[in-house]
Amino acid sequence: MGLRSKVFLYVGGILIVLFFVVYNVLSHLLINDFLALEKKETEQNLLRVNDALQAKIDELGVKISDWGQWDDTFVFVQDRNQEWIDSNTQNEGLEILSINILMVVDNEKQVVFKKYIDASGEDRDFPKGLEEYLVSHPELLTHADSASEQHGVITVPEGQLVLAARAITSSDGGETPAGTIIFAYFIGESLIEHLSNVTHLQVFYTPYEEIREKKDEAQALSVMTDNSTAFVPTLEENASSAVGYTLVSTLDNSPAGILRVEFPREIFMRGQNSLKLFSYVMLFLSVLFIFVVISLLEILVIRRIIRLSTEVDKVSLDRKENGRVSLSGNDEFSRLAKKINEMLQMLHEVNEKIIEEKEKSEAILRFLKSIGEGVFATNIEGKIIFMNEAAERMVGKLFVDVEKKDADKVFSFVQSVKGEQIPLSLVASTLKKAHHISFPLQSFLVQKKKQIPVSGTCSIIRDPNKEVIGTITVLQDITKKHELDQIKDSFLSVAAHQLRTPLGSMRWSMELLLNGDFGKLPKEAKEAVQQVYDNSERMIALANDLLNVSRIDQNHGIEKKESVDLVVVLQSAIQVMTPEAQKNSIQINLVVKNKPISGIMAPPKHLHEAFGNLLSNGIKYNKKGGRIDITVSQDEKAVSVTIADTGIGIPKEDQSKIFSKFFRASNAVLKQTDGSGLGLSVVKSYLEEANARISFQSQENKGSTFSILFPFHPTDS
Amino acid sequence: MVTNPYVLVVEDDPFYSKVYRTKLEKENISAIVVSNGNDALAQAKKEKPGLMLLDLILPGKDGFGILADFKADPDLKDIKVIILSNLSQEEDVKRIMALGAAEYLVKSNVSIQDVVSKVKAHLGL
Repeated sequence: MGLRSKVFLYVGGILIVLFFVVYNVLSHLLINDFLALEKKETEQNLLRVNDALQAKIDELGVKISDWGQWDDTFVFVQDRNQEWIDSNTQNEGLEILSINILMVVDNEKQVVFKKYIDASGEDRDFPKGLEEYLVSHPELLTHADSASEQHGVITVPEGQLVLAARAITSSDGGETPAGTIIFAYFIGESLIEHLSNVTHLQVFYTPYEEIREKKDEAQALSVMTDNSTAFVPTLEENASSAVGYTLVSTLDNSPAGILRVEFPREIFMRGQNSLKLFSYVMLFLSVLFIFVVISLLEILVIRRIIRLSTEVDKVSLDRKENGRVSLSGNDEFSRLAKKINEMLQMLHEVNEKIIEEKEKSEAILRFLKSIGEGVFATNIEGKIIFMNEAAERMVGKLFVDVEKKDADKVFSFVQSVKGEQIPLSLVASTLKKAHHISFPLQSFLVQKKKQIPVSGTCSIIRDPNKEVIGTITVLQDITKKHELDQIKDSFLSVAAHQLRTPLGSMRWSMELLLNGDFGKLPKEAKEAVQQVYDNSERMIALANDLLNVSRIDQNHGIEKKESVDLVVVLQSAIQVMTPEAQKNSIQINLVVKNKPISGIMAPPKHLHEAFGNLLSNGIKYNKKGGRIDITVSQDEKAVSVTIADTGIGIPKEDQSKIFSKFFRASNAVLKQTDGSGLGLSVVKSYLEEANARISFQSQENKGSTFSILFPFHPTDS
Repeated sequence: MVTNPYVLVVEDDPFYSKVYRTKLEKENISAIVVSNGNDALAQAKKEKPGLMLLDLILPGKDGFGILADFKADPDLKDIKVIILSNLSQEEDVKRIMALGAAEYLVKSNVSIQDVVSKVKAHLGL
């Protein structure tokens, strides 16, 4: 269900429910109030009717007083003169008095005069019942004083009468009552009509005998008690008239009849009308309110929300980069729209950045992929996460097939040492050391059917916090270079060997000559032969150097590494060099700063040769009477050996090339014409086997200091 | 005619052969120089030498094969053999030493005098 329908349903529903609740509560309260008011009015009306009836009865008492305290009557009751009868008991006179019955009784309770006329003024037979009533009610005819008078309603077999009885006295009142005068009239339509006229109410009278025939009156009588002579029944809602009942009592206090009062229910009707009007107004107002509220909600909220939602839908559907929500105005919605636009802008910017970054990284990946060298990267667990096409070609597997596989298993590298193949776990070693590793010489990548010689490096990848996150390995197929090297080395080897053979026989022949084995030579001849002998030795040395270099390159020179004591190796190298040093008057000093020095892994023979070559250079290129100072020291990271001479030094322009094969510094060539230029190249190769690094500082004519640093890896094998 | 103990030299290079002959003769050590394996085997069987100087690069059977043949012959296996070659590669050295050579000398790297000293030492002269 849409927002609009929901709002309409909820607001409308709540208001309608509210309307009915308010209407019901209010109408209930108001109707009750009206009913109470109506009851009160009914009670007042009953009182009014009662009062009017009482006034009518009392009026008879007043009328009779004139007649009772009148000398004519006083005389008449005693002498019964016809004159009084003639002048006072005419039918017209009785009609004026509004009575039906006139009666005079003497003290002996003998009827002196009696007369009864009906409502139309005609004489009728005197009702016997009245006479009997008087007999049974002697108190009406007995008087204690001259003003004794009684009036009220009585019931006789002929009907019900309003009756007044008074003592007959003289007009001065002093005499003893001479009898009783009685006025009476039947309760009939005229009395009820009178009551209706006086009270302006509809009045109905039901005598006691007939009550049982009328249901409402009978019910009223049953409810009325001695104390409450009025009864207001609960009306039916649609009754048009309000009704009340009041009890009329006889002189001897027995019920004479019931007066029923009816009048239009004006208060109730008006109240009901007001309520009706009120509810119409309220209903109208409610509808108006609903309309206004919904209109306001529609204009201020719903339409804007729907608009906003439509706009957002449009933006998300269009998927345009610059899609924006448009909503005018200055309220929460327009601010929301503004915020949404800001967020869209931010999203757009972030998206652009992501695209840019993605392009960048894709470009980097493309570069890496197209590189001629094989490149593969691993995560910190050594599993392959990237591999370029060259690496795929080299290993003969596709990246998708080896992704997340152990790099050291996919790329099986071995090092060939004297025909033995030692497996290399380069990635694992790099991760373990957290340090860059170069492929050792004679490294091969094992393929299905063959091995290809490779070179390369495995490096650590670190995140911006310098934490190790993986490795990247660059490897190069060096088959061609390897083949060329092999050709070169075997050439050098063959050449050196072929050179050695004639040189060796020359040397021995000249040795025989010099030794006089062919007879003593003349002095000059001997000198010449000696020169040839010396040169043959130099050539042999050169051939040996060539062989050494080719052997190193072919890795035939790789020796097993052992834990060596540098000091012992140095001492033995010094010992070998001492005769030559003495020949040149060079002093060699060894200073060991701190002992013990251990944990260096190196092939001892090669290390010996490397130190020997350095010392040899230090002697050959020194000044007469010069020095060589060797210092050995150790800290927690490495052992360092420095060999400082006081020789001719290395010219600046030559310093970058001194470790190259066959290179000789310009001043070295002048100082010592022979020399292969291979010594330092051999030194460097041998020290690299021991993971050592060699560097130097040199000043021409002052000397050179070679520093060799053996990094300390006690656990490294 | 040789006097015992004599040195059997196996060397194909005529220059070296000449040097051996000349020097050993000078030092009064009787020596017979042959240039191939078959001759060496025949000579040794004919007259057992006190010491053999053996080159490695030879026509026909090379030094490795010759030494192996000698060591395989119960009569000859106790003859001391010094290898004199211009090969110096470690594999070669190891291989020949493993076959039972007594010593390995690189010809160009030793003087003939040193060779003579070694020969004398082995012969107990």
